[in-house]
Amino acid sequence: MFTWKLLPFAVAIIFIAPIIIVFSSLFGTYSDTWNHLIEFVLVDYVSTSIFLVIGVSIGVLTIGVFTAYAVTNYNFFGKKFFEWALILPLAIPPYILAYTFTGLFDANGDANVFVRLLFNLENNFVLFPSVRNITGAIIVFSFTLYPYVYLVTRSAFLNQSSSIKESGRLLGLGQVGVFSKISLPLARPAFIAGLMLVIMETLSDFGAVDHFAVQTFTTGIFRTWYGLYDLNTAMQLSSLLLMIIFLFYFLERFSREGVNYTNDNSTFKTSKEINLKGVKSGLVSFFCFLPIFIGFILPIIELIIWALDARVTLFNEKFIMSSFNTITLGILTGVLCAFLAFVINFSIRYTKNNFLGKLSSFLSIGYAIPGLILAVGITRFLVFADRNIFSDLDFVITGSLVGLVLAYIIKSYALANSSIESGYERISNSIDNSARLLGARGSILLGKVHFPLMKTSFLTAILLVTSEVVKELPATLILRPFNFDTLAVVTYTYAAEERMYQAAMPSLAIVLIGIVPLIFLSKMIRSSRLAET
Amino acid sequence: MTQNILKIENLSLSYKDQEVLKNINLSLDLGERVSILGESGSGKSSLLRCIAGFENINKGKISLKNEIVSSETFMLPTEKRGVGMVVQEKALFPHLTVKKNILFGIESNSNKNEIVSELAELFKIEKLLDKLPGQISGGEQQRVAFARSLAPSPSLLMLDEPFSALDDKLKQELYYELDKIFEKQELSILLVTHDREEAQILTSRSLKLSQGSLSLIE
Amino acid sequence: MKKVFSIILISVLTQGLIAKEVNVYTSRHYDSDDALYQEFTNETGIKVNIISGKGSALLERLKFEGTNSPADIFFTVDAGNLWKVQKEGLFQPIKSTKVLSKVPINFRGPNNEWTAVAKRSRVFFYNPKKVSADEIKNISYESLANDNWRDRIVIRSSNNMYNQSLVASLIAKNGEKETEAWARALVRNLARKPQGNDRAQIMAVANGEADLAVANSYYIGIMLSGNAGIDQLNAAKKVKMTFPNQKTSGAHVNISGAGILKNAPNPENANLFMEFLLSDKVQEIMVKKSYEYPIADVPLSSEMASLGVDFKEDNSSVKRFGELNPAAIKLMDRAGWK
Repeated sequence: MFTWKLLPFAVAIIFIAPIIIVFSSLFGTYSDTWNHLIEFVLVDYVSTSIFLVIGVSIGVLTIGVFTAYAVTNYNFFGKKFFEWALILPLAIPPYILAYTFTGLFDANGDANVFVRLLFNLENNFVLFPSVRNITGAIIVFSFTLYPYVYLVTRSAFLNQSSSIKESGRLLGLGQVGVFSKISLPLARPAFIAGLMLVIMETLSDFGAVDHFAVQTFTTGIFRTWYGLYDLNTAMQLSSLLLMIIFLFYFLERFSREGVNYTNDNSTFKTSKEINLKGVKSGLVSFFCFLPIFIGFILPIIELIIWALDARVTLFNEKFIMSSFNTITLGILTGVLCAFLAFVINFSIRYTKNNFLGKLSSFLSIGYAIPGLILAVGITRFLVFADRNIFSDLDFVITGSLVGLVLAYIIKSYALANSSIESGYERISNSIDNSARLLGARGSILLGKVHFPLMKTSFLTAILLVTSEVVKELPATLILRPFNFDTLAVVTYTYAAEERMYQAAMPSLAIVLIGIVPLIFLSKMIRSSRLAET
Repeated sequence: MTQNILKIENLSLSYKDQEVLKNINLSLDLGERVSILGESGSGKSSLLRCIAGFENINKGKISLKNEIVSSETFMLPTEKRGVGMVVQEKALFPHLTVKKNILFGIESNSNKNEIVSELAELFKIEKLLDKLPGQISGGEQQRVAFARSLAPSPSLLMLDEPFSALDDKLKQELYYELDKIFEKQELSILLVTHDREEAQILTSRSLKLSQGSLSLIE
Repeated sequence: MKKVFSIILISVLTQGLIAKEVNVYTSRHYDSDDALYQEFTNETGIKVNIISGKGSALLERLKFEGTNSPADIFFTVDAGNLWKVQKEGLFQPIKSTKVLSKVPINFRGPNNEWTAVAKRSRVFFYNPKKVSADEIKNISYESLANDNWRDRIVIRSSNNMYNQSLVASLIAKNGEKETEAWARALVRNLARKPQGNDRAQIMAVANGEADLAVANSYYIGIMLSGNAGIDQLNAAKKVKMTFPNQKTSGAHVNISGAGILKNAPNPENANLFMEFLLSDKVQEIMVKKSYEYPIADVPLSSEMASLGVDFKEDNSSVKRFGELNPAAIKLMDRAGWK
């Protein structure tokens, strides 16, 4: 009983340490780099970031809400396919989509070349506008991140009892009216939550905006660190960015708890879907197909074309090694996160302590922290630990995998936790009570009763975490040990050199690994009507 | 001559090769109150849903006020039928206040506020107008549901077991109140229930629906 | 029980360093380097452990690791990076005569903290169909500011170290005020917003998007070799290379260089590695595989030789690039060079 209570606290301390280290820079000295930043570039960084966020918000809300509503309420051509296929772009991290976009739409990219060949045009004819600008960035983020909004909004729409919508129709509303006055407002907490996720991801990204030469706040932090060699100022900027991101994070939580629009379960009826035919069906199909095409099919085609280029050996040693490393790290982190989430959720359930529950939710804040900032905080934390705790033991943990795995755990804990949490919600308390009446103590309850019942949640947690770890880039670049590359690092290194052919295979591997959990996710989406988000 | 409100002729409904409603014939005039008794699964709710326009019918015709609204080839959309329905799960809009729920169907009506106050008085829910559905009891929610359905003055009010979730005392209270209201407003009512007592208090004529076929009560 | 388990877990995760080895922190990302390291292991039996990353990231890591740092060698491109590590006092002086005798003094740190291992020049690539012989004759970096180059130049972002060092060298030569004016004019003359890397700039000239690109010399070698694909080979054939400032101060030269770190756990192995890098054999490999100019007196690859040998180099000390780096970046910010 004593250990169960302590574990969440111990974990919380380790999670918070890197963040505190970053924020502590705010209390240090402020160099004159700030004058330069404020006078020349800070306004640029901020305004670009704001513009980016607004553009992406519009993009993901339009795509995500429209497709979610179509797929929940209507039958149209290909609807069964679209329902799960719409989440596929989640397998493509923004930086990979950015690389394929430039490869396609640059002045001499494959798309323009194709058009020239097709219509026998001159060599300097350019059909597609340049993508290496903020519009290109908005498009990239919108098409890779809309699935977050799609998933949560779809879940919300599914949960809307048909009788409410039917009441609306009895009272005189047509289909559009039911959507705008009933379904949409009721789904608001959901799509706001999805939107906050998207905004956090957008602000944290480095790979895509760097490639497009778009100067956001995050690239500004990198530049201040790499270029002006002022880590302290970079940490101060990071603290600012963190505060803004935390703001969005709390808005997301608040929005979800806001008004509880759940239904009386016993009389829930799933809505009957309206059949669309002919032109209407075709149009809806087209608009559902478009995001999948742009966010998934098109980049995959480009990557495959590159991979098949004659001069590239597909399975070289680097590729095999980094694949092995990536998968191992993913599964290791997944297991650790799932285990951690399992034990923490158990202690909350066992001790019925409300504060512990809040603490556990707090641990989920890790995913909001940009990888770069996490890496900085962790490096300092590890050095501190090395100097003060491990120095007598002759261990060195800086430069080992400990830092990297720690970063991954902090970032992915929320995913594992949501899966385990909802798994636990399905185990009724009366089971616990029966076991305890029969004499089972904590560890037996955990191991013999809960764990067997939680196998699916456990597996889901591992899969979700693996897919996150596979895509992570900035923290990996900074924290990885000797002779250790992941697929993401290899992709980035080649792409930064504009050696796209070599970047193709590792990119494809990342996407393939990322798809596996998505397939499981999509199966679960369809089967459970009260899908957790 | 009293006006005919509802006329169902030879209605049949099949769902996945199962006949849910078989050759139903039914007629309701203005001010008439009819109940349909039957066990669960007998097709009672399906009948109401056909009249409301939520289901396509396979054979027959449904007319409201002598105009065909459903046939094998034609379906008038629900929102144009002018019928009201109160259901067991109440189905109030959880994000709107009681007042806004009641106003929902009469937004464009010039004396909507008067209508709301009248109905609120009638159903004794004046004090609840600014509350959200989540903040009031089950019995109160059901009254609000009634008020909401009546606000647009529907030609026909259908009740799909609206009282089964309430306890006996509440039921009895509501029965007598509603009976008076229905009488006063001259409402045409089609009540679906499995409770004979309820049917007797609230309606003047009872029919039995058994395995999709309608018959008189012996 | 749990304690034992966690200790085992930690030791599995930390990599026990027992074998004969040398740990290299490198910011070079040339595949050809892998062959180099393998060659060193073949010759000496010493294993080479690599961690690669951006120069600044590696520097931060070195600073944090402090005395615990397992790094033996810091290997990088651009003298600015070397200067920064030197400034933090993280190098130990190179003592090997084998090394010092081969490298001219202007290519070493002030106290031999580091040394150049290869050279590259930041040159111009132009489209001979669009640029007249007159325009290109005696061209200089400074002349890129002239009006006749309006909308014709491409160069990569100011984020990049090579440009920062070029600007630093111009500040050292012409002073801040003149260089700032030059930078503003250059930005006006750009054909497009800075994007892509050096190779992308050369491709842009080959594709007709611009008439002149500023990029490092070795890229043309890589492209002409055909190893980077048929597209790049064809593009390389469409451009010509020229060394700027040949009549005046000489073309800007930067270096790949390395140094031994102060807290190196394997200093003897590190020393051997440095000597290895400057051995004639390795110098030859380097020039043939990465197309840089050698420090030692070995012949150039045929591709590079065809483009010009014995060009006039700017002999100013590369040490200054690092010193002036922050000033260069701020200047580029002020000039609007994105």
